Amino acid sequence: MPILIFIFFTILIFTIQTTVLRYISIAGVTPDIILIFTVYAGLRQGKEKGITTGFILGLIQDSLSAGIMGVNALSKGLLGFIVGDIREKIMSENTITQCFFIFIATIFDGLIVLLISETIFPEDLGGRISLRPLLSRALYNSIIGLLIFGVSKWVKEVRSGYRSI
Amino acid sequence: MIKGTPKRRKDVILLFLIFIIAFTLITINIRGNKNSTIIESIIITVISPFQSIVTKSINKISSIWNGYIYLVNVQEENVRQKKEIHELREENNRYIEQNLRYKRLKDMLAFQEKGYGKMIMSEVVGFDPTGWAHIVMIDKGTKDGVKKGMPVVTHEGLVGRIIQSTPKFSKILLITDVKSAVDAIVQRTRSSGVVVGNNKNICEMKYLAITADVEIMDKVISSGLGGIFPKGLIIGIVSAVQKGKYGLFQKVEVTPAGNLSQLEEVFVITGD
Repeated sequence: MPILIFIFFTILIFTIQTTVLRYISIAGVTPDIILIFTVYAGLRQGKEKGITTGFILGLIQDSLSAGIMGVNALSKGLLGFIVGDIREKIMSENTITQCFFIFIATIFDGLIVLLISETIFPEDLGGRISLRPLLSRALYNSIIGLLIFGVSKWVKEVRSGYRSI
Repeated sequence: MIKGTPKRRKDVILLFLIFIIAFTLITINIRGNKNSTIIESIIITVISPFQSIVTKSINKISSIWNGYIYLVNVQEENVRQKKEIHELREENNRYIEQNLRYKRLKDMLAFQEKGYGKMIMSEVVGFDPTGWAHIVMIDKGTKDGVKKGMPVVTHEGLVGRIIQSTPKFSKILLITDVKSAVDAIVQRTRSSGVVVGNNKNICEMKYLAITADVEIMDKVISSGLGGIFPKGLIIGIVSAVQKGKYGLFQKVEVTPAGNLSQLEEVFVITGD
């Protein structure tokens, strides 16, 4: 059953990411809900599930894009692992702190993609990622993450409220 | 032998596995071995039908909103004639949509008569999920005769080329992507260069000699060299020219002829 839920959510977030989200892009910056869900998986489920979720989501992202196959799989996998590892050391239920994780995670993800792409195809030069759009992307992801994590927290509270009744 | 607690060992093995798999995929990709596209094809086959449904629904809803609901809200006070207006607007909207589609097809037909060969009309169903690339997904694939390498256009000009095809869907690399390069000439002066993308909504024309005569508003067209894009397709208009004091080449910005961020329908030149 959890696998079916995972497949359902994976299809859902990729469908949203590749169709609806372009309507809310600001100055060419579109939020990356795949990254947000990787951070979410790491925070909620720990490093093992974080790394697996991140790797699978990254691999799908690579398949649907035109970049180098495996780059996003690696960056998102590492991200899931690191976030999961940090969660085990500094447990934080605070939504703002979790959004800070998203901000840092976006920069980390961008830098890994940049590092690998530039190492393999140096002729592509800096057009792919520069620091300013990366910061805008990190900020936008954090805002969207704030909404998603807020809603998730609210749903959790409502569900635990029902259980206690 | 990895030292530490069993949990720590498990972590190291997991990380090691991820690195091995990812770097194997990256290596396969760099060497140009297309075995990895099996994974890509499966994923595209699973995800694209959902993209297609959502995109078509969004287009339908936005068309109803633009042509119907919005206007209905504006004239809400006219309750007496509401029913009639609704019906007429609905009918009118249908005609507007048909008319717009007819205009696009008419433009395309005129374009087709220029002799680029057979074209297949397809709808854009999805966009890039990473934010680092400029690609779009269309609802036509190998079953419809679409193959890797085929050029893609709108009646306004060149859009890009097919980089991957599954039976029902295909991926297009837009001319604005950093991986795109189109051999081009300035239409007025026939000066040649290469139009490359930079992941923004404009392109750059490289290797244009410092002595070449090029001005803002000059049209840039495909040269036909390279074997992918037929000669004479409009790529865009020169929007900025920068000549340095030193160097062999000038820096020329080209604004794509078509609006690549709002693509709805495109045409794949199959060349049959």
